[in-house]
Amino acid sequence: MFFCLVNNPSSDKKRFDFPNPGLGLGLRSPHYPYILQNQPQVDWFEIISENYIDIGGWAAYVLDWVAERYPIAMHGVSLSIGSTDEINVTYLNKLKSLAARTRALWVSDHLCWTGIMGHNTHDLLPMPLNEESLKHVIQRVKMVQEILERPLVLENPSSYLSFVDDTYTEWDFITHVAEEADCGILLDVNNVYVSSVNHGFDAYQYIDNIPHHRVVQMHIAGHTHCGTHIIDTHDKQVTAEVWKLYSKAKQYCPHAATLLEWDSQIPDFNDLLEELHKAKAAEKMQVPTASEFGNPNAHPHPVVMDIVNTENITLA
Amino acid sequence: MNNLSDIQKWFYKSITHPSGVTHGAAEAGTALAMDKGNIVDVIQPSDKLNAADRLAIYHNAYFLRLYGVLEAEYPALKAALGEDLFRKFALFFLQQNPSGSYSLYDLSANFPGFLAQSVPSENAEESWPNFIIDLVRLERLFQESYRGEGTESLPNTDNPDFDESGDGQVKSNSLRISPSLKLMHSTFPVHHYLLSVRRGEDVPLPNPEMTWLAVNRLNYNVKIYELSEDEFLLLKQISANPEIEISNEAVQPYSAKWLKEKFLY
Ligand SMILES: [Fe+2]
Repeated sequence: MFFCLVNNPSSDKKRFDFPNPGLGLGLRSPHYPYILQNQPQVDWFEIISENYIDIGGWAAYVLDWVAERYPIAMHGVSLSIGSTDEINVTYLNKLKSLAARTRALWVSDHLCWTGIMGHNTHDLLPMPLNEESLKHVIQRVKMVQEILERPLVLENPSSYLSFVDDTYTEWDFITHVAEEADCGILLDVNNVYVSSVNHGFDAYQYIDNIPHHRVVQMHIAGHTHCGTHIIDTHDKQVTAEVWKLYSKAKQYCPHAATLLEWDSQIPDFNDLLEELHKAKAAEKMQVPTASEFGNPNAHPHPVVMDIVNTENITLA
Repeated sequence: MNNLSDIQKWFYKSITHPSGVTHGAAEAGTALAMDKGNIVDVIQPSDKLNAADRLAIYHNAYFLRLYGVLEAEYPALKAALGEDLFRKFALFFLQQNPSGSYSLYDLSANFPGFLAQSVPSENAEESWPNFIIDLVRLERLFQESYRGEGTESLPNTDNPDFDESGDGQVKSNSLRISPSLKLMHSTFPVHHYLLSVRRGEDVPLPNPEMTWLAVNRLNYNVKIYELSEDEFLLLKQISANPEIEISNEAVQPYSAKWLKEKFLY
């Protein structure tokens, strides 16, 4: 039988003092009008932090409206925790203010680097997995947590390459970071699957071997198979393989919140909710059956931006 | 073994090199004096992809992602230049102006300045390059007005004292310019072109015409206002120097509109 009940001593341990808000969706600008009009039933929202820093206007208004009515978690893409550039303290202080303003449940970002020499690629670039980079990341996470005055939650990104100098598996690396810097984990189950195919490791071995009590949140998302590798596109339904992996992860981490990511070709809000609610079936090990989607020219999911809408501009 | 800092510099230079990862990695390896600076020395192949192909995934994503931002923010410029020329300018801009910010909203702040230096200069004010430069300026002003601070959340935006200082002067302490008000002058009606493109219409490039515009956000909607030259110059004066004292007489023709549309508050 594929599924077995997990007997993991760590799964009963409490992880920090974070509540489990349940099943959530990303707050995205195409859904603003629907959310304001209908105040839909969804347990919580995740925001991309950078979309609401230094921002006035409509997005700021919607953010405050949502924060009054729903729990919010902050998910960043520019922390660059693995970079050898200096930590951007101005940015961290802005994150901190945003967290206070939204009463954020927690603040997460990715176990990656995004730039160097003062430049930002706005991509989640892979870390070499060795002793030097491990020490570097642990020390930086500690520094960030001191400034934020709260635990940082780090997500495993999808990756498309590995380094000759790697000496750790990714699950060992993230385990060391989390344990030694005392931070949380955002387990992106889709990213585990994508990377397992791209690097040829066993996705279940990954899930089995991380500190489950530190998993605060999980991500599920759609990806695209390019034949030679998989790209994390966030533009379609979650595949059956990822739902299976999610079922297993949920057994290990029953306390973790779940969030569906969908960032390109974003469907109607209710279609997203329908996809999200498949998680309930998956938790009962009734795995939904969306099959693998193929496209040899797929590209990683776009950065989410609130673009000026045509309907918001008129001639007086 | 290469150190982390060198690996990251090498990686960055490889995935942002305009000629691709092979050129980028070779240049970076030399510049950083790396013993092991070839792609195969740094990147592990997979069963199905060689090391360079794996690195190229990040190279493709870098340009596509940032190009996608410019494409979404400058639809009118893209329509005016045509896709090929827009792409050339956009990619050249990205090479010369890599993002240095945590926010993608800052990515194209210098796009108007870049185009002003890049399009061939012609002396006549009514020349095509000036149309292009003004169009890109207006698209950027839109974004800044749309996303920046506005009067919606500020306290006390109905200023009852605006027009009644009593001494024939309207003073700075009763004149506050809306943070979302942007002003621009053009020798083309760039706003008509921009709005037509955004409506999905196929329009020819406009003929020259002296144009003075205000862009402002009111109740979260951005509006473009056509101004007279006098009104434009007056608003310019006030926004350049909030301490300036301007006679009621000069302001009187506009005061009701400025208050209603929250140019001033
Ligand atoms: Fe994710």
